[in-house]
Amino acid sequence: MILGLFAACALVVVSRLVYLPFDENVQTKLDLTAPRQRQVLQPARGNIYDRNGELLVTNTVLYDLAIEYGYVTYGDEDIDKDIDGLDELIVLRHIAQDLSALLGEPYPDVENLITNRIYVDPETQQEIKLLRKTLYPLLSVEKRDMLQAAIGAADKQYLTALVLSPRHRRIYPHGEVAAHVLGLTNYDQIGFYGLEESYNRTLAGYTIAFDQPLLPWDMQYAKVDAGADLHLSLDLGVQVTAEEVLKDSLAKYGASSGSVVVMEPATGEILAMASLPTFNPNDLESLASDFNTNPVWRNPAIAEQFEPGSIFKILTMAAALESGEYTPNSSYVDTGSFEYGGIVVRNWDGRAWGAQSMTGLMEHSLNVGAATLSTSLGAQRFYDQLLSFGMGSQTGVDLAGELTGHLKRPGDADWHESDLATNSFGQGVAVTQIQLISAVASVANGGVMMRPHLVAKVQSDPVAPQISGRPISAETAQELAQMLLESIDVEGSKAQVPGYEVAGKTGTAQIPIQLPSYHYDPNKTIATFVGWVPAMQPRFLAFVRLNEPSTDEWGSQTAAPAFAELVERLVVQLQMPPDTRRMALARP
Amino acid sequence: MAIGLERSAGMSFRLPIERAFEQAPWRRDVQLLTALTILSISLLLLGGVYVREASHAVVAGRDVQRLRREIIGLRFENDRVQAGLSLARSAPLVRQRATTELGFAPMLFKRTLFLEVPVSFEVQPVVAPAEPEILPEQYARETISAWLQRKFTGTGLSPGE
Repeated sequence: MILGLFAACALVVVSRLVYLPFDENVQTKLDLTAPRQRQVLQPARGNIYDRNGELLVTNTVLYDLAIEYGYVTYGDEDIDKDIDGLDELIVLRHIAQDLSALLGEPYPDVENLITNRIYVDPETQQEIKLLRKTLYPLLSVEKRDMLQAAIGAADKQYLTALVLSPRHRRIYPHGEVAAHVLGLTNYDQIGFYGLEESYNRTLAGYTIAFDQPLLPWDMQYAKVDAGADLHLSLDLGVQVTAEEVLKDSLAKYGASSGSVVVMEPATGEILAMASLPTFNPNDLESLASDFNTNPVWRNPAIAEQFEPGSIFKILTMAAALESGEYTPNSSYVDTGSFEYGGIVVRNWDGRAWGAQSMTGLMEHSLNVGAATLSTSLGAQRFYDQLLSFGMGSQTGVDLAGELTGHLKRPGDADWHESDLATNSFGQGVAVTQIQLISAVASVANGGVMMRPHLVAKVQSDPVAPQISGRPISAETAQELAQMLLESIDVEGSKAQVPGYEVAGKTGTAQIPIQLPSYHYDPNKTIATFVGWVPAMQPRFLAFVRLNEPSTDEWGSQTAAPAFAELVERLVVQLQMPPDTRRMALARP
Repeated sequence: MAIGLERSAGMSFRLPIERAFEQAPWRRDVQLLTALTILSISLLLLGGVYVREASHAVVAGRDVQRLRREIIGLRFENDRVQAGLSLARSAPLVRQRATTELGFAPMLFKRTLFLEVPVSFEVQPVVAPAEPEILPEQYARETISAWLQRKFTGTGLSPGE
């Protein structure tokens, strides 16, 4: 009896011991968001901020409704004592029926979507039976909640085959603002164009796929490397202003397109890079499937080559001054035409300007004078100087898709002797806007050329400014800056801003047409102005380019006033006092 | 006594103490059964402990899975809220609100005046801290009675000494 009592006690203890402490945490309802055995962890892409910490790019969450055929549970649905494909089809139709009612989609469409699980590889034409199929991508969180609640309430076992997977989607809160700089991402969160492409690996982090063990104690911690945040040198306020000025200028001067770049010459930091027409990277649905062919996504400031016209004379003059053979006061006699290499170079107005100093050459933008300089320097020295300014090569700006421009040189098949003369005033040479602003910035920055860049910090690691070259001496740079300041003053340029000393140069370039034969469009031009403020202690440098202005073909009448408008707004925005007050404050 | 020590044919000689411990067959069966029962119960107890621990591990594992899902869910929710906030603060929207709802206007260059603002507070002269008083060496050798005398009577050493 004692033994029996002992055994009974033991049984009670054991039965108490084996009581499984399952509680309310155990899932009893269907949960469509519950992880399945195979899990893919894709971290959110890193955010992108402007220089003041304003969020430029971030992520939101949408949901993909998918079916996992491996989770379709079915028995002998057609009561033929044989579990076969017909049984699966019946269950899939049940799912389609319920889903059609929930989503308000036509039943035939849903049924076709669910029952057709064969994927044909477009390349190999091989048929693949899908284990998982996304039925409705990118559902909102409200729709997710509705589906989750409805399916949970229905509590039908076969609906466990449906799964709602969260998916990050890139959000560009400011819409079209800085779209060319930022780039865009596709459905799979792969970056295209701009920073999204050039920093794709950094922003994306590392996606991992792993098998979720069925037994909880087999779990291992799946560490996900999240994407890093980028902190840009770009200033959202300056960017918005640049875009507004550009938009107004396109409308005012009837230009078809244009770009504005604002840069700090001392560091190479880009404050703004605006181009029109542009796009809204949030409109993923409206974007074509081919991310490589739509020209509107290419950033014209780095991926559009053009003949720069007269602003190229800055580089020609730099070469002349750097050679030591010319000073700002050196003179030449302008006869109005200059014959070289079988062509005749004429001034923009066809006039002969007589005796001119180098400053006069820049002030009146004389082609004959520029051609005189380049030919007297000779091809070797002239092209060596252009190469040192980075012409014909990438600047290394941290954006995807930068072009190199095209600088023909002696020995190249397409170089002619006449190119030495025409290149001096920016015809017969192709550059990108970023190349030219980088080169001109070296003049503003005492002869030191900085690599243009947009990323100032990756996560918390600062990106140090890099010197990309010293094309001219500090003395040459100062002389040239003074000449450009004087030429703007004497000319009475529309680029002038009251109270501020502006150094810069206008440009009006003809547009070459390749076919049927190489010639210049007689009616269209590219109007440009590049300049910096304040002239002798530059805070920022801006390059305005207006393509095909229709109200006036000249850069001095279109791009120059657009530059002045931009500067007027930026000095207020950046709280730059007029030069007189600034100098007074600087005095002890 | 001699009878007790007689050894009949086929019988082994046993001491009384041995006979006292000699078990009847039924008692041996009971002992065996008891041992087996105790063994079974022990095994049952061990099994029970194992099952209990395993079930706890299962529940803990499920809890970890659930918490991880919650973390991931909260991260997604955080991203969603951050995106909503960034949209509410977008430049075009803020500009529209500023100009239409709040009555702000862009700052115009021609209407901007940079003023030199005179310093509106007086700079207080910086008072340099006094040099620390260096006491003569005899203070370092001062006895406690001399120190007490100096403190309470004012006599004794003085810094001038």
